[in-house]
Amino acid sequence: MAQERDRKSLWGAGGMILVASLLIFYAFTLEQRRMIGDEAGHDPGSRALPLGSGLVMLIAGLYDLGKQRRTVQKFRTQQEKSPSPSAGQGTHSKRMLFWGTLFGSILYLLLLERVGFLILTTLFLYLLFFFYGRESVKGKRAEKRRGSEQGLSLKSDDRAALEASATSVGMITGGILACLLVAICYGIGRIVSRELFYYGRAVGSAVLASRAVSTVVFLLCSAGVYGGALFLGQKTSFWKSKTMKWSIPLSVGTALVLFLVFRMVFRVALPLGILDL
Amino acid sequence: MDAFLIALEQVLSLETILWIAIGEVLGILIGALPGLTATMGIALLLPLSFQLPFAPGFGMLLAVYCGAVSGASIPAILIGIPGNPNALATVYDGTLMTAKGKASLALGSAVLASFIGGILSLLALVLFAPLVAQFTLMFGPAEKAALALVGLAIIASISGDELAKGIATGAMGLAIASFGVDPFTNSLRIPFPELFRETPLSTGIGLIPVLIGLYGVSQVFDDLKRLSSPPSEVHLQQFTETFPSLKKLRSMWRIILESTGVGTLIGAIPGTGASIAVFIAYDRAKKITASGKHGLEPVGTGCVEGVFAPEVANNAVTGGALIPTLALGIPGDSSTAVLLGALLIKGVVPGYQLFQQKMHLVYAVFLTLFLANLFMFLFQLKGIRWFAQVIRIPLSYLLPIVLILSLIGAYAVSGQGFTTAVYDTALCLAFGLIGYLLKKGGYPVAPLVLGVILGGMLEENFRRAIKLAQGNYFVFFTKPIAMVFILLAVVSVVLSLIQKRRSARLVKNSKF
Repeated sequence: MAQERDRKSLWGAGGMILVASLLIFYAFTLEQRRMIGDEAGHDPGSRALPLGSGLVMLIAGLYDLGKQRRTVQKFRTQQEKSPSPSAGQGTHSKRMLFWGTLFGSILYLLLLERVGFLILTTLFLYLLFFFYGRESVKGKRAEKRRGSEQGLSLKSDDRAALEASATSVGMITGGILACLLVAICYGIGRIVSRELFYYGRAVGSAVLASRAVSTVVFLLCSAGVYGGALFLGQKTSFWKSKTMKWSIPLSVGTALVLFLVFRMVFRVALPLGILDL
Repeated sequence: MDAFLIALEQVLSLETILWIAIGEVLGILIGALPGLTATMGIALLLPLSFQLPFAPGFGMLLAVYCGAVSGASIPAILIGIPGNPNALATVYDGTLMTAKGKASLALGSAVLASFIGGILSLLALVLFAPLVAQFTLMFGPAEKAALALVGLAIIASISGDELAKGIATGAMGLAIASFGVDPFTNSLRIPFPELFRETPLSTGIGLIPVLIGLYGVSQVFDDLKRLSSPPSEVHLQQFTETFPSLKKLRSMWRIILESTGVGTLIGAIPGTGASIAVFIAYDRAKKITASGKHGLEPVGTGCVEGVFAPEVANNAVTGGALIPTLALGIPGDSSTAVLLGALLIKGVVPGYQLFQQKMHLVYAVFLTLFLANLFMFLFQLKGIRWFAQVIRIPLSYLLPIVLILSLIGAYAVSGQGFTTAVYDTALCLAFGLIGYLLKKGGYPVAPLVLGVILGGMLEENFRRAIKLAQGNYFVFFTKPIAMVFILLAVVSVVLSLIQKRRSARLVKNSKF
């Protein structure tokens, strides 16, 4: 563990030196201009801050690298005396989660305008809940497995979660369901609030045509559909596993709340994408 | 008087009260969740505050700050894991009290102590901030540049384990702040200007995406490794509103006053923070109660005194840390660094001018901080049962919400322009990755944030000072105030080096 930390610090120091060198190079490519009215040339110029910070970073990075190298060497000598067992079990799935989250976020950004905020956020959140939940259940399972030797057993819903998560069909079905649910919530909320708005304008009622009323009506309609779907799902024991039971409602609920707060209350131009009919 | 009435009118509006209440609840929840910090909470809610007028927006952020500092005591007392470093010292006596079946009393004491600490430090803020601000009248460009350097030096020396790493990230922050347009010549300072001249990069790197990325997104990446650890098991007892008796409170007067003093003072020193204050306050309380006189129980045995001292101190830090933030523009800790960013985004520049020309905004800060403390007391008191449940929420549900809030928060800042919004979101993601890599390499993030915030101030005043001194780079050593600041920076660096060497020696000795 300590060895891994030292290795990371070594890489960290190397990275800092690289960034500092790039910064210094960049500073030299900048046009050195002085402030207006400084004919005498006393102003340190536009380059001063980037160059100064680059140099400070470089010195600090070099100092840190030297220090880390000494630590690693010291550790190696100690390790030769007493070799420790290698760590790293289970790091593969965590690494996958890290890269998945990073690329998922980049993809989210790239597709936001085309697909739209509601559908894409729901889908992205659903996948995150699903995979993170699976990782969490795996951890729990490993713990329980250790505990089962002491007489503890795995809960049935945890077992079901693992079984469901093992199939990609379950995951895809869940994703489609989540997207459908959010589209229905939005569709009904939008139709009702728009009709009310038109009605308000037709009868000359400023209250009915106001943004506040539209927001509240949208909130009530989407909450009604959302609540109804959840209730039906629970009653008919539609959700096969704990992961599914939570992933779909949480992703849809979060996306709707964010949409309501940012788009309807604060008027942030969140793209509607394919829902913009 | 007029300024006070204007502020009162702004603060007592339904909108302000509502947003402070929302901020308070969110703050307590964030504090109660182990691993989530007050700084992250404030950073995540920055975009919302950006959309609101000053009083409700900044009040909400202050409420998150107070709530998160205080809420951290809940897991510290119930499961022995502090919600964030502010409650590190509460763990000792808090868990012992829970083991004795006195969890309600411990939680009640923590809430009351937080309220007392918060209100007393608010008094200190009201009294001292204007005085400190007046002091800034004596500052010229050289003094201002030296002050910015002091802030950076102190935060670099205190945060993280190694000084060199703190200095490196502080310098990185300064470099990031320099991207965009040169304030004096209007020339572009970006890589490949021909290529990026027409892109949003030409306007520089916005503060909000940097803050959200460094504190929100990087937290998600960093916490992925904790996913497989099971959520904490809380055996909830029948919580009742139990407080220490009035007699007990009277007997603890010295602990309360000393802890408030320690918290406010430590908070007011730029770059420090509650995690230092709570241990000093706890240690002082230990010494005061050692004799066992005046009906005081010895701290460390699972008593109210041991919960009271750190909890008074950590909330006293909130008011203390706002003194240099409002008066000098130098944050007291990483949370106030984000709060300072929020002020600057709102166009509020701290310093004497603020106290002279926009006193209604200063009063609004004082009043909203009072409301935030009051709500913190009421909400924690009435909702302790529910807030305690929060500890059970697994990370697998929390992390996706934090990630999406970060991305959408960064997107929302530009509001209408899609290209700028996507640019800000991409920046947020990039800084999340940078923050994660820095953390992995053992580099502290707080100096980077402060570098980004203070970069503009440092550059402008540094260049102006050198120009006024006709190219004399030693001008900073010829001005007494600037000299004092430089000495302060040197002392803080040397002290931190001595302290780190001493603690390393202690660790080494304890191994043998």
